[in-house]
Amino acid sequence: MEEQREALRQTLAGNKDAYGYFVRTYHRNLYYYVAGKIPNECEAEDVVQKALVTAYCKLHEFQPEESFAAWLRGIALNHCRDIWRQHQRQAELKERLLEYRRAELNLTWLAEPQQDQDRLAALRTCMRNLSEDEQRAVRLRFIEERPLADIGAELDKNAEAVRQFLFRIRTRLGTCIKKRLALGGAAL
Amino acid sequence: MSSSRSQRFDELVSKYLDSILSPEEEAELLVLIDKPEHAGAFFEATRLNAEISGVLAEPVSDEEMEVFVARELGKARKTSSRICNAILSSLPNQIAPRHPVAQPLETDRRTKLRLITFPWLISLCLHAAAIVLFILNFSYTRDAAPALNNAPKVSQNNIESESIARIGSVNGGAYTTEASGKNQVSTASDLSEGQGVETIGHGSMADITFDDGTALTLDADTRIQQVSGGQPGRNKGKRVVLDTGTLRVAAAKQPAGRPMEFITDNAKAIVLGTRFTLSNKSGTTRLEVSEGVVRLDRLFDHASVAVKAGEFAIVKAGVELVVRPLPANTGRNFVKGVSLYGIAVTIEGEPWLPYTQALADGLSIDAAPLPNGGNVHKIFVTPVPATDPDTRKMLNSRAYSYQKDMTLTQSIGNGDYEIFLWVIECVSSNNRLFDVQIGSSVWHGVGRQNMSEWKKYGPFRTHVADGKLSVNLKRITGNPTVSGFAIYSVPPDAQ
Repeated sequence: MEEQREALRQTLAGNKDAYGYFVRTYHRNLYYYVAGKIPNECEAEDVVQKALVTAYCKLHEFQPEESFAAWLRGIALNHCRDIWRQHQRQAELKERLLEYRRAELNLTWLAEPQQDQDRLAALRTCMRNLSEDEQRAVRLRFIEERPLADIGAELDKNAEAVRQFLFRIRTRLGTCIKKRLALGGAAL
Repeated sequence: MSSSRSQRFDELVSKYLDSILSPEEEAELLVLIDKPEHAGAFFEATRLNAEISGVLAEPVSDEEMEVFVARELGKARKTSSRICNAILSSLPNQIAPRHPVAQPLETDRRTKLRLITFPWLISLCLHAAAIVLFILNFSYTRDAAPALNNAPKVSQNNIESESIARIGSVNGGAYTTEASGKNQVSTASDLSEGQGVETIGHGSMADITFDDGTALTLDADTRIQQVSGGQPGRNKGKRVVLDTGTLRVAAAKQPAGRPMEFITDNAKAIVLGTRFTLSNKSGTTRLEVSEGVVRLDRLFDHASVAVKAGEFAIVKAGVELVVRPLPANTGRNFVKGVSLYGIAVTIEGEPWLPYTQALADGLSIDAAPLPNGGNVHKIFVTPVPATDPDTRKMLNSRAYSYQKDMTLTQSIGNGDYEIFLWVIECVSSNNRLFDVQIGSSVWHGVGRQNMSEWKKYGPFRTHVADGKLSVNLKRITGNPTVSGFAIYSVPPDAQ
């Protein structure tokens, strides 16, 4: 905390390197926070970057007794709203009603208080508990972004079976998160 | 909410998340999420999906983010508030901004391997590697197993004693393989039932002839296993498992009802008497038929095609199984294709190496990295003109050199070659220009392209005399870049 106060003092005094402390300390957690709200990871990264720049420009408004992380998340949330509004506009132009509706729902829910950090911690724990096959399917779908037929070839399933498999994984993860949050924490 | 409607809603959401929703289903889902309970569930599902992607992705390193933020602050200096200006004016331009924000930057911030951070993921990768090794060690792959398991059980003693073919000429490293290990072979040795043959190293090859005159030629770095001379008593024909590499086959007419089978990890070629070439590289089985007809079965779903003389077909996950005419004979033989910083892909019907394998296979890149490190990375561009998924994947990764020349060097046997380069523009139109020098020849004006436009440059012909093929990208403006390259051998008189 003392280190942060000093970094803040030096940044506001014009020390060119001092703001690096805030970037190093907060950007990762901020990324995970944002990634749950923005569908595209590149956009999520951009939001983090923009939020850190905005925070720099508004640093004089930050009250040292407040949580810097919470303040930063508030800034990021506004950038998330911008992204969803942009999605909504684009969806409207292209007459993609479902995407329009999704953007609308996200804009509504962004205003709701959420237990984001706990949720993500719970999700990580739940994902560790997936079976080897399930983790493989998740890797192929979410990291390698392979089409279902491709994943099917790897897992010896047809595309429809893969879809159902992924659906069951998502359902399990959703249930697992709820259970962990209800029990009072991801570490349970 | 009735159970069946709920199930239908789940199905539609699942399809939406996996991007396979039809327009009709999209309309159906849209109606359903008008109901608050469905709207909430839809939001939860899409949110969870984003969260899963998020926790699997790894943000850029602390140092990189510092550089990006400093760069953006440099841009913000012009437009920010008075107070912000007061702070910003003391910041140096650690890296002078060169590109508009919205465009893909000349950075490697998206190049990080997202697999390296989470322990469970590392464990997953190790498991995957173990599975791959298991598959490589035992040619009985999941797909091939049903076909192979039908093979008659022969006692080990019989396997060792029964000669089914003769290994004729060999060159370089050639070995017979069996469960107990492998032995180097010399010309004119016998091949027993159940044994395999492997050629290792540049220029290696082996000829195998069965009693009926059927001849197999193994190209360099090819491995066949579980060779069987057939079991007339059990109505089984000859069988060869092509584990990896390229096999040229001149099959004599096979007995009625007992076709010869060639099995790869994802396909089976069934022949009665013909000439063809079968290769199995990086998950791609390619069959080229020069005489007669060969049936090619895809083991995954048992789809099959008949490939006639002058045609070829490919079996690869995600690639439609169709028969295509062989390109006109240009005297050019595919040697190697490399997707720079990419995965294994099939480009123009040829199996390209993934970047990691290419590095292990003698590729080196001499290039100037960005100040924050790296000279290979992934990009996210929709190529223009539109192209097939594998080419798109290949184009969306690249090597580049930061404001300096770049040299790609590939170890290769001496001879004559033609080289093709694939280049995509991912920053802005007419952003770069460079010359390509191969040997003593120089090609001018490469890389001048519109945003997202890709081009295939070549053929660049050259002669290699020192075992190394060097491609120099000599910078004129912007950063020299290349997404992939293909090398073909050509006869000397083709030049």
